[in-house]
Amino acid sequence: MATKWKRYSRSRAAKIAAYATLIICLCLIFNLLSEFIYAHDSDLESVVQEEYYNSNTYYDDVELALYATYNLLQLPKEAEAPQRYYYYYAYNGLNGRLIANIAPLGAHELSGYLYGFLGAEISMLRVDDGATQPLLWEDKVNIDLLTAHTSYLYNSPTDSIVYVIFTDDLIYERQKAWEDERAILLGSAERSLAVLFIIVPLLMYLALVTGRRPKDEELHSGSLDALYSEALFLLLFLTVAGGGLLWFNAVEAIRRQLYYSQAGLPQDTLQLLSLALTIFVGFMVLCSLLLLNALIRKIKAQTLVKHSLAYQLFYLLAKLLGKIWPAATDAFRQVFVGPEYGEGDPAEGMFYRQRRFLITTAAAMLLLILFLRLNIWQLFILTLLSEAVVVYNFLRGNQKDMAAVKASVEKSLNEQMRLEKLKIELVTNVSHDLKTPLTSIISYVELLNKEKNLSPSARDYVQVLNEKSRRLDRIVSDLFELAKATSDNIPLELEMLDLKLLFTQTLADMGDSIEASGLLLRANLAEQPLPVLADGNRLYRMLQNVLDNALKYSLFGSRLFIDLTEKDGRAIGVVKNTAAYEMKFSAEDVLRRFSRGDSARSSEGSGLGLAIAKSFCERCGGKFNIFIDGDQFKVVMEFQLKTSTISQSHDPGTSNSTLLSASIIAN
Amino acid sequence: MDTPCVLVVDDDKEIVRAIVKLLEPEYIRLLTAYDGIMALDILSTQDVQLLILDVMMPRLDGLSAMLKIREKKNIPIIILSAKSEDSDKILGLSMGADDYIVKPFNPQELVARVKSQLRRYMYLGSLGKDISNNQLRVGGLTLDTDAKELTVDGDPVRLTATEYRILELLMSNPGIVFSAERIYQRVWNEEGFAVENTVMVHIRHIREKIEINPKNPKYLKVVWGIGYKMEKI
Repeated sequence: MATKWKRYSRSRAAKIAAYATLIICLCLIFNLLSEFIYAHDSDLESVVQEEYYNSNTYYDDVELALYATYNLLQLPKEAEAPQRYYYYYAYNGLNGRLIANIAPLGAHELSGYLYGFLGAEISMLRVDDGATQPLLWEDKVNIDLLTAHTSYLYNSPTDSIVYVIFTDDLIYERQKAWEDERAILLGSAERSLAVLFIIVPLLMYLALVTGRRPKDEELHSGSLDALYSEALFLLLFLTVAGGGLLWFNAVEAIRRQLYYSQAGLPQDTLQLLSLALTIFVGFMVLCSLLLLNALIRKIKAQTLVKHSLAYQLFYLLAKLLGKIWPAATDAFRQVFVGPEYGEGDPAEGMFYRQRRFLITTAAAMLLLILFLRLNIWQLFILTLLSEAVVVYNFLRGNQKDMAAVKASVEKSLNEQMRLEKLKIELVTNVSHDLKTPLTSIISYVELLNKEKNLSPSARDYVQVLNEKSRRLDRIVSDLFELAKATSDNIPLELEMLDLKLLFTQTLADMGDSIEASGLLLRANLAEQPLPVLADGNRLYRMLQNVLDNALKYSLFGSRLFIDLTEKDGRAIGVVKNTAAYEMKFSAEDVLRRFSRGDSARSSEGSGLGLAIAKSFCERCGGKFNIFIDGDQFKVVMEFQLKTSTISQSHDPGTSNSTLLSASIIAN
Repeated sequence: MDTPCVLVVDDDKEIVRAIVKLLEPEYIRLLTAYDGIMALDILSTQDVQLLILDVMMPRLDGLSAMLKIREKKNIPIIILSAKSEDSDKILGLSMGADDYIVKPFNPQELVARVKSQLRRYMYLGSLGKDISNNQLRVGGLTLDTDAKELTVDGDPVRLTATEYRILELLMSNPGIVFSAERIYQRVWNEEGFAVENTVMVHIRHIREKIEINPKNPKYLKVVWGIGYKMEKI
């Protein structure tokens, strides 16, 4: 059903029929209009105007009468007063001539003529009795319209009087004629309206089917569509407005010819003209319909805007700008921002940005001074604004760099913390895994050692096993301790303690091994207590390791110097010994983990002792340094002194105690 | 006196065997278990005088097992652990252990500690000699102020007069830290100058007499940089 309907509705024949019908209908309307205009000598006002004396026709009548009467003033004095279908009274103040077809009269005598009074007096249009009282018909006549129609009266000679009087009979007569014409006009208007009811649906139908064909659903564009939308609009406007204007002028010309010339036009000429006009109208209607449909097709294809010259131009412009803009911003950035972080070395980026900033700012300053001197304030302000932009971009670029640097620092710090934690975990696990088998080894070596019937060589081997397993134990625990010492995860037990006392206690504690080492101890400790805030157990381990190292590697019979002094609010402990062999390594090497005095690694010890000592010292806020000078090996430990009292149990008044070196040696 | 019975608990069977072999010559009856649950089972059926307990074990770890044992039994417990941190030791001791031995241990020290705990428990604790008013006791140390005698886990130890006075001072005030000067004042009855070394040497000698491992003392401790104290046990 729908397809069938489509087949008919979209067929070329149906469209042509619609076009033809439209053209015929519109021609009909225009014909009616033109015929009315020149055949009935009336304008179309009466379609909407109901009262005669409000209509243009009435004012035309009045104008005509007044004009004719006014012209009488120019007649010579002796001329005969012509007859008219209305009463008139004209007085020329220049020559005292009076022309009238009624006796001179006063306004009050005219008041009987309700619709028939008008006068011009002393160059002034009056619609009254010349006295003070306004006349009755003031409310019936549009004064403004009348004044517009009779403007020439203002040019009348001074003291002139022109009266025109329409009798009621005349008024009635003309009103009737006007109303008759109006009735005819209204009938034509109704017919036109009826035709409109055909036109509108047909237009809608054409709008609907234009571009469609019976076979498919595609939208087919016509040849007119190739024109830009603006061109179509312009052509449509020209056909409608220009054509309409031409038509109207033609109709008006014919009307004037008919109206003003006594002869009028011959009947066949009029018919010929009418036919020509109709053909013209039909052509114009066809043109505008084609244009209109082209526009509608474009709307359907949604190319109305896109396929317009303005849009195309705008698009081209935007495309051009789109090509220019990135290059422009890039250039701007090159000049004002420079490479951002991540594009290269941030330090380099900042350097270039600062250099650029300084140069541009210096240039801006010069320009500012220049413009200020030349008093070109527009350029001055422009430069000022540019400088503001430069400053802003400079600050923003720096801020971005700083943020990036901060982020990367935080990231690496976190990574470091994570690795540190991982290291501790690893060492803890490994040392635990080492300790368990070591426990078995040590225990079974001991059991083996207790066996009664071992051969002497086997007993010797067991002895070696015993020593080495103990050493392995020490290495494992040292390793574990070092891992703890270098990590910040293990909490310290900080308390106020006397470093001097700690040195004394440690020396006494190690008295046996010092004695056994064959070294001569020369201890020179400060006289007064040296209070420090530290972890006592760790400082003991530190000193113990340092002393162990000295005892292990010192030349037999040499002296071991231990000094503890105060200097500038710092406690400085120094352990000096003479090495038993040539030290072919640097202080840094010593502190390296597992580094040992003898490269053969035959001696006891894990090689971690000094590294642990350094870690403990630094964890307690001290400084740990090693100096090697020939055979002299020197360890310097520094701590910040705290001034508050050490502990409750420590008695004051012992600060003048004497040196201990002698008594220590005595032990 | 009956042969004392010791239960050795460790998930490492070789270590258990080694401990058994080490303690066998000491005339001790030995039982073994390889986790906390097994240990609890044996304890519920057997009369055990001492427990050697590993911490990290499957099924039930040493510390949890110790808490359960302590609900019923008062026998000495020696913790055996690879964890050497002070905090681990303090945790173990505060949860009810009588001693804490770090792996890998010195076999002779282990034997000595086991014997010390057994002596205390069997001859001093359970047999319950009355403690007279003239006796100072800290852990396994007993100082008889009348007889001027010291016993360590029941064994008499000879002391010099100075050593005795120092020990008396410290044992009378367990847990309190004494500086060298104060010890000197109280023991020698005179003002002491530069006495740290003197006092320290005496302390070292006392430690050698009363401690099983003088390098890692249990009773008499040095508070580095401050003074000396008797641990409050």
